[in-house]
Amino acid sequence: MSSLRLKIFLAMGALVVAVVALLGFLSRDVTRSGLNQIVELAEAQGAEADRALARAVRQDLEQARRRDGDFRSAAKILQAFHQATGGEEAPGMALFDEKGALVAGVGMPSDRVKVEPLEGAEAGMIEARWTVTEGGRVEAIVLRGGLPVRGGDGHQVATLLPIRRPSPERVADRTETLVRVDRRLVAAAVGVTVLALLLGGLLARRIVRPVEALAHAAHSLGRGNLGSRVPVRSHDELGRLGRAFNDMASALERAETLRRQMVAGIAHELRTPLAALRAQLEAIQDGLAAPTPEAVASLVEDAVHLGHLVDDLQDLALADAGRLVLDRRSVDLGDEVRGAARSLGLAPEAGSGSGLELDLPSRLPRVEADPRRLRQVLHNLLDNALHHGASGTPERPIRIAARTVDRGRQMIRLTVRDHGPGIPERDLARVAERFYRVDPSRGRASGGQRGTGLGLAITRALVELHGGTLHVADADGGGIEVAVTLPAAQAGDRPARAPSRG
Amino acid sequence: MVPTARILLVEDDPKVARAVRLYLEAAGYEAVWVADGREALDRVTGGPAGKGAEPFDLVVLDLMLPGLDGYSVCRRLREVSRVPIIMLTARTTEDDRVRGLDLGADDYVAKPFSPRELMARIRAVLRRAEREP
Repeated sequence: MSSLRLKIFLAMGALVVAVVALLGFLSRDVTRSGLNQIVELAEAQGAEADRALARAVRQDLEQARRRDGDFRSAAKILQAFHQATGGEEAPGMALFDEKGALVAGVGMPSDRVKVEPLEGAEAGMIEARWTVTEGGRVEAIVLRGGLPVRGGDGHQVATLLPIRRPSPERVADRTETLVRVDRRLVAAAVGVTVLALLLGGLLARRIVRPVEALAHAAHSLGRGNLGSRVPVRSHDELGRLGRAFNDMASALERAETLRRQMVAGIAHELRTPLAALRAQLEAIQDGLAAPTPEAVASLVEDAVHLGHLVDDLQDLALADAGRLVLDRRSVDLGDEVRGAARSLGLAPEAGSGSGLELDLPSRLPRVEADPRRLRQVLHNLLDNALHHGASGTPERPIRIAARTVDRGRQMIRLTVRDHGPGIPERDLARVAERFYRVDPSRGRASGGQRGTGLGLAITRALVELHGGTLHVADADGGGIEVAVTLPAAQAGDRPARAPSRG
Repeated sequence: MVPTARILLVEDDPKVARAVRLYLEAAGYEAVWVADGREALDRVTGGPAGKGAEPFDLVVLDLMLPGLDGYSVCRRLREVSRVPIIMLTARTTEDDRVRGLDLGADDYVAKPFSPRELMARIRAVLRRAEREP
């Protein structure tokens, strides 16, 4: 009973039965009253015809009375007229004298009749009551009306009453017609109901099928089958629901894939320094290597590197989860760039002997950023250029430039260019992806200073968190150029304290 | 007495390489260390310089190498040599292991590994190689 299909089906059925019953009742009513009107009209017409006949007979009767002085030939006249106008089919006639006694009659229901004048009606109108015995039952047939029959002096001497008995055939006809109409109505009602239920069933199926498919897919998704999708064929609400479900499932699948890659990537990143640590430690334990200050320093270096890696991974995980809260302030980008350069041992002051070329306009607007995170971004960019780009010497300086650009709101575009070996075209787009290394050992080549492989990925996550973008492109004359956009500060932003140096 | 074997260690992390070398030498093997995949290939196959191929009894091959990665080195080695190969890698998914073994590696050691276990595996692979000349 909890089936949607059944509910739709029943609601549809109830509606159809109600509508069909109402329409049937109304049309039956209309038919009956229409039929009655027709019959009444026909009877009125018949009565009028009877009166016309009666007027003709009256003429004969009045002539005969004038000639004979009484109604001795009345019966003959009525009989002859009855025969002449159609015998049994013709209306009967009854002639009553002034006292209400039957003078002559033809085609009467019976011979037992009583007449009374009709009070209040036209002069000469009477009410005649015949007593009829039919199959042992006594019934009365009452007729009203009558034409005055006048004598030579113009006085009414008798009343002529045409007799139209209700035709049993006509009554039967009418009943039969109604029964026929009823039968057709019932047939139509049954047909319509069956058709409606069929359509209702089809509609229910069309609604219920996708809903069931959706429920099935959702269960499957819940059990961890992230590839589960529903087929979408329609463009209606159910179709939109199906597409929304598929989109959700795809998003979940992407997130799960990303999570798996992340876990695998983290494990991979941690395994490499751990391998070095373990191999060295076991060698000391097994007496193959001596725990010299150099050996211990090497171990400490590995431990520190692991620590950095964990920090980076945590930042990235927080950024991914949207949990990295930014403390946005208005920051002087130039100050921060110089601060980051100093902390990496690069002299930011212009002049020969510097491994840095700065192109920062003096009127550069301040940026809206979290100072701590901005420092991290700049440190990563410079560190990347220093170590991966093998730049930062007077011969191969790192070039940093900043410009204002308009991307709907004012942004600052900062570019950091190195003189490194460059990156193959196919890798450029992926270089800022987490755990992606163009060359699996890039970070190690520069003796000891090993990258975590996460620097650019974290930098990009941080920049995007600020509402900016990060792009890596080939620089003219070798090396790569990393372009970062950051939003310019607006009037209401709190100014940052002076950046801490170092 | 274990016969002295010549082992090529292909590993770009100098710290790992140094430690493993200590173990190899302590076990009486002759260890040759190279840090890059191309050089490893050249040593085994003789290379374009035509210095002549060096005989090795076993190759310990790291997968994460500069220039030519370990999978490629393994595939090319198998084209010319039946020298036993033990892969050393931080990639540990089933797919990675299957791929490595399908490329012709004889064993597979996941990082971070114990040098002692690596030595045991080297002994096992060498024994097997001796039985199936």
